[in-house]
Amino acid sequence: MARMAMVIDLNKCVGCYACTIACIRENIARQKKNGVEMPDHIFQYARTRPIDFPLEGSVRVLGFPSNTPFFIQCQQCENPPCVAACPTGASFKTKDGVVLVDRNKCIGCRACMIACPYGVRTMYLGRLSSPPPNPYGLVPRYPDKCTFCYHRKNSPEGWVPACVEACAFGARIFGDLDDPNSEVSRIIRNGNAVRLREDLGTKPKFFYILPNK
Amino acid sequence: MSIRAFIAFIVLLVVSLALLGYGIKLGLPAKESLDISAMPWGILVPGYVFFASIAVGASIIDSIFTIYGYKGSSNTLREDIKYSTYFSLISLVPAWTLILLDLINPEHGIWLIRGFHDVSRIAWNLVLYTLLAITLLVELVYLIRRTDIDTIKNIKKAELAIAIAVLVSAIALDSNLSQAFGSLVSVPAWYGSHLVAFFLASAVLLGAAGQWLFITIVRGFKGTLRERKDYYSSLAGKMYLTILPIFWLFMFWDIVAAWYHKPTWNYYKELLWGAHAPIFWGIEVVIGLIVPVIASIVALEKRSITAAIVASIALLIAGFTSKYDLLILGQLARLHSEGFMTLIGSGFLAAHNVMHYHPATSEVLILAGAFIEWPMLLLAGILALPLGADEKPRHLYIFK
Amino acid sequence: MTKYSRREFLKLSAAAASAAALAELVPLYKKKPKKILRLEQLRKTSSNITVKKTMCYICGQKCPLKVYVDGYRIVKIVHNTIPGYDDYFATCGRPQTLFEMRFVPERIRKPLIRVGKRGEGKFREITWEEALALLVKKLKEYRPDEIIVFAHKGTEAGLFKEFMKSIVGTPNVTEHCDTCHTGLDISSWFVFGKLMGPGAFRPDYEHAKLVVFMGRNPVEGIVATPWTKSFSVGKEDGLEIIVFDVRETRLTSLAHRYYIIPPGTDLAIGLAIIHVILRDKLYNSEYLVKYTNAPMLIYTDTIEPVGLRDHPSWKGKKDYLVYDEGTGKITWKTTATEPALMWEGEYNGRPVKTVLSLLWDQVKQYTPQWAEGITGVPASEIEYVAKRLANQAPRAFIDTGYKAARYYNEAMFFRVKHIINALIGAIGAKGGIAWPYKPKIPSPFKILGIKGHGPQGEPLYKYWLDQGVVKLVQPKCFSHLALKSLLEGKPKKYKMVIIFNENVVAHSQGSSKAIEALKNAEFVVVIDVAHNETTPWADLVLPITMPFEQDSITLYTPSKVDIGEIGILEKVIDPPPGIDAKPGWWIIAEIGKRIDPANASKYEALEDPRSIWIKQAQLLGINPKELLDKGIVILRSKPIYHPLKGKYLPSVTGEIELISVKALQEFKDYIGKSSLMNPLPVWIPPRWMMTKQKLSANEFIAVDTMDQMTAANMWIRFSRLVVSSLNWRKFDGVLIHKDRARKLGIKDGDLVRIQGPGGEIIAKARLTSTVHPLVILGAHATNPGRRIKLTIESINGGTYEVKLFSWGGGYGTNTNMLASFDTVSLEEGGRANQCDVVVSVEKLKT
Ligand code: SF4
Ligand code: SF4
Ligand code: SF4
Ligand code: SF4
Repeated sequence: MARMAMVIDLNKCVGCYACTIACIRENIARQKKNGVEMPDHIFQYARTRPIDFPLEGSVRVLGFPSNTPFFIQCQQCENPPCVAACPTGASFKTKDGVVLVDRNKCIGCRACMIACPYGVRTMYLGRLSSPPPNPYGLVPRYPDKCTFCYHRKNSPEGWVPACVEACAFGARIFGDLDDPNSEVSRIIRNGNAVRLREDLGTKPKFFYILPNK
Repeated sequence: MSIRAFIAFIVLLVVSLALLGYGIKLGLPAKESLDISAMPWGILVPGYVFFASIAVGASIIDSIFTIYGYKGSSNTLREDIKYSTYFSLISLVPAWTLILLDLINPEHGIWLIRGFHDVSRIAWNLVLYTLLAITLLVELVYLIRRTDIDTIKNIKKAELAIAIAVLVSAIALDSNLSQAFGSLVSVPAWYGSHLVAFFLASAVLLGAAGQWLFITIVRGFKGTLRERKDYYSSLAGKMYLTILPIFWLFMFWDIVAAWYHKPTWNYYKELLWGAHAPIFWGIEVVIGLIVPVIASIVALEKRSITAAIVASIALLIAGFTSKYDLLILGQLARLHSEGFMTLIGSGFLAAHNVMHYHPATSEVLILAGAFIEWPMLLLAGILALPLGADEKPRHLYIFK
Repeated sequence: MTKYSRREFLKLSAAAASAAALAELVPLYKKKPKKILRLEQLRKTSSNITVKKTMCYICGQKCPLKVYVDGYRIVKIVHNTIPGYDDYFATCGRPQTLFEMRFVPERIRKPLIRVGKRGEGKFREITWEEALALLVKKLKEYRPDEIIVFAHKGTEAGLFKEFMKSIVGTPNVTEHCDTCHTGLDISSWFVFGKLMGPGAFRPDYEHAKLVVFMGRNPVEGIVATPWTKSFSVGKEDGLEIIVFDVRETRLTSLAHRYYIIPPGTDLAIGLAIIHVILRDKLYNSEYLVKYTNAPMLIYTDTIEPVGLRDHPSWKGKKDYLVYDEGTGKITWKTTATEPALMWEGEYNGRPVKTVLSLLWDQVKQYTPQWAEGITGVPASEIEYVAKRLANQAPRAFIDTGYKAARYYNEAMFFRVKHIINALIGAIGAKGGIAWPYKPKIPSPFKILGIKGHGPQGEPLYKYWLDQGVVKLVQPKCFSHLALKSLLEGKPKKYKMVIIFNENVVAHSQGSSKAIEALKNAEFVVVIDVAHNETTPWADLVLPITMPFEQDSITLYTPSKVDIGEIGILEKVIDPPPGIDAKPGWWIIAEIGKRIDPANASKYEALEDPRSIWIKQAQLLGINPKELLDKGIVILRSKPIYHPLKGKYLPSVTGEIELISVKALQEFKDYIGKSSLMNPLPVWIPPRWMMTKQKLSANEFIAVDTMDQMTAANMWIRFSRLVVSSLNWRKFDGVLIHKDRARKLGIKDGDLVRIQGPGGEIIAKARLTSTVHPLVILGAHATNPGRRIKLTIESINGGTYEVKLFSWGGGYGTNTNMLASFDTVSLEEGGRANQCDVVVSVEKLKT
């Protein structure tokens, strides 16, 4: 058992988008000899999306407790409403606490998409002629969301999600909450990481450290 | 039955299949991707809920009549019982058509059974639909096979048992269906158990109107309406005047409760005086409340069939609108609250004004196909089944 | 080179072990049988991965990268760092786009020759042989001093400039910095005695307690990642941030306080901060005495230093007279025990006072109340900022800044920032403005022994200096003057223009005049990666490779180098099929062989960059093997923390000069005038304020900003990812304050016509409440002005079209298209005032 989790330290994040683009490359875009195939409006399908265009006045996205730009992506809920809503068990939680979609079982009812209180699931309806860049990559006509780069789980370099790897500012930290020595555990113990909409009881495993002010 | 009816059936069949077929062929195009991510459920879902509600509501009314032994004046309702049961059963079909065609990957449908997920309301819907359909079918077969309709004094125990089974499964289905929405903490406009009561009241209203209209039309064609005109007009008037206040009480209650919950209030704000207000006031209130109340009173007082027909049609129109508002506007309101839209579409959606939902062409076609499928199937039943009180089971059918 | 196949094999077997369990769960691409696909893919994606060490040249910073490639696939890109020195490195999101950006449809595919009229956009593909022959013929046809070269820093541009200057011999080689940081360079001349650009300073965010940002945003700018990294490290340690800007940004969202002010008015705040610091004596006295000319005595009647003599120990520097409070006598600073900072008295019967007293006289008028009247920032807040700065000093500073070509008064503003940092003792302090260590890399020409005759004749800016039009010039950057010379035919008619990796039309203030200027040349060559606003005006267009598609000709230091980083730029990947582009050095070598056949073999050697790296490394005392292995090495462990950069500065006194001695000699006449050349800090309104008392309802000040994804004028702005990123955050147009837009009937997403004195653009309106109501603001160079379409005859027959912004976008802004040609500070060599333009805005009728 493991409970994989991610933290974004918004003090360190400078909004460079390296993470978003790395995620697109890793999970969505099909690289070919003479071009790249991917959905139009590609940022829409990035599995980690910046919420950082000028935030208007008092708008607090999902009640985010700061006016600082942040990233939205699957919060890897421990108590995931998307999984609860899915009639076929296609949306499920792995032993590592990662919520995934088994496309073989998915009937495309979109219950999971509407059930997600964080609006992270997308569905691309267009055609892409080649297979996804990895077995967990985006496939048209199936709900899509962050997998914590599950395909890298057994990587010889360790399980480092693409967005974490691309962040040169050390703003993204990934690890196992069940391992008390992991950096994420240490950060969570420090107690200044927050989660989105804790009131919903979804118990996200995605944490944000708010900027020092 | 006349050859004209048969031709009408063929025409409806062809048109319905053509619309559905073309709708399936078109499918959801790539350009809907952004919208589907922002608003996963389109117009087929309210369409589906609409038909499901009619089926459930009609079943409930039927069962209640049966259980309380109410046969109408001169046994009128007993004469109609096969029609009304058939109506309940067949109204499920467009509902299924719509929900099935709403699936993006229906080819994996087997996983609804193989992967049955016991906490999913949608998974349970399937079970309860099956249950309702089976009980209705049993009821229909039972009624068709029975020949002594006019002679019997009391309703038999078996019929009573079947009626109770139908009632229970209908209520269970509708409650569960409502909770497919009501259990979603992600959509404030839906979230809560109040939706059960709201759905039931609305289903009974829709079931009553649909069923009443169907039987009146059948009788009209058969020429047996005139003699029972007074009875039918006052029945409609009484039913609607009883259920409407209940439905609107729930509505009012919900609005008042929403006042204290900002995210839900967002929905009602939009509904009551936002961009959607004309639809709410014009259709839900005027056509769904004022018109049917007046028409029901007229029907009751003047024994006017026309007024009762007006009331029924108005209720069906408003009923569909009410589902549309709840399910579509409910999702739109979510996009509007707490910057939700920025999570999914950010600048793009803001620019493209997804706040106004436009169904895709394929969705419109499929919806239209399902709407035509409904009278087509009803007509088919009249043509093929011995649904009239005086009709005996024929050799051709399993009912003998 | 790292091969992963074996390890991947292990991974595969691990996967196979759990395959049974996974088979059901693993989501697969459904068209194919699942297990087979999974294995296939792993095999396909994991074979032959090689790791390239390179540096990103998209914005010019050259951030060290490791790129994992597998055939034509970019597997991943990570920043390449040296453990323990991570705070000096980073890479941003731009290089991550490489996998897609390299395919932008705007890329130049083959050498092109113009077939239509200039600007018409009709070209024909030719062979490299033909192209080079034509280019060489033209180079021989014109005298070297009739040639003007515009070259950006891009890979090989350095070598190209050197080649043009010393081998071909043209003295007129310029970059575009007069549209960028020249204002900063000039401000540095006034304080440190030398033109010094952004790379000359290291704002030490990491150790600072407070930073005030005015006219600067290190998190959304360009060429800035090491700074951004240091910023982010500082932020984590609780760095306090105060921001003045014309709009809300990510930076303001991180700030403890921020103020949205009218464009170009920060100078007023700066002057008021000096006022408060001097009024309340919040300056660092010890520092001012030791490292600045604050105690220098000046005759108040003539505003001249009372006495200068050769400095006893600093070679070539001057010692000066001060009032020694210890002895009560006027004496040389080097002998005084206690030089007075604020003192007035008499010397030789003439009134004298210290530089600091003179400064106080000068800024007495600039009270916080006065600044409030101009900027709207409450006087109490300005007092707060000044006191807070003094309070937290020396671990506090006003960011030195980068781009200083936005407003007319900007060089003065930047000078004021330097003065404030000096007053609080932040320059050279840990947590203040440190000095970076920049190694000098020997040129490949030197290594190969390629020598020419040097420039033939005077550079054209000399003429404008002689005319007295220009007072100070950055000799590397006179692109405006070059265009002026082309336009006016002065001092002579210039016949040939070569543009290497620059976008002269888009980057020049008054683009339409830049076009006129190019038309005045007989032959225009553009050498670039992709088509841009300038290529339609060229006669010959040559495609060069993207930086990732070639070994660089030389070792590089990142632009913002702090600890002497040296790195290699290794070829990562081939150009996409159909792109017949060549490295810049190949073109140089080919021209060299043709015009200088005697040295042909040396030019031949130019085509082996790696051997040049090795020689350069040896000369720098670096182990070449280590360099090739790691991709980046450092020569120092930290930047220079010393107020005078270790020894003494280039100024006359060798010190930080609050009032420049050289300026007092050269520009004394400007004292008392609201002029950029005034040796004393003085209020100069931005240009828009001088021309307009009040803007009417449809008038705005057009401002452009840098963006974290676009890089000025580069092909990356055409990338789908970048277009989508701008669109995603509603920055694909121009931001207008929604109250003002509403009054003009403009809705979000509407197209608007922006009309400036020099031209018009069509832009997409984006309504917001996060910008100052006076401005209309967008990302730099995201609008091509007129929609550009090129028709090109293929060498294989047939034609094809190239459109700028073919993946969408192009409805942002480019203030250069709006400004008139003379919206520059001519006295500073034509330094641009890019955001100092009043424009009118109307909704486009559809
Ligand atoms: S890569 Fe890191 S610093 Fe850049 S936007 Fe992502 S989290 Fe922030
Ligand atoms: S964030 Fe949404 S998609 Fe992710 S686990 Fe939670 S509910 Fe499911
Ligand atoms: S769309 Fe697929 S994954 Fe989502 S709830 Fe429906 S079946 Fe489950
Ligand atoms: S963990 Fe992987 S899938 Fe999730 S956002 Fe990061 S890169 Fe994308």
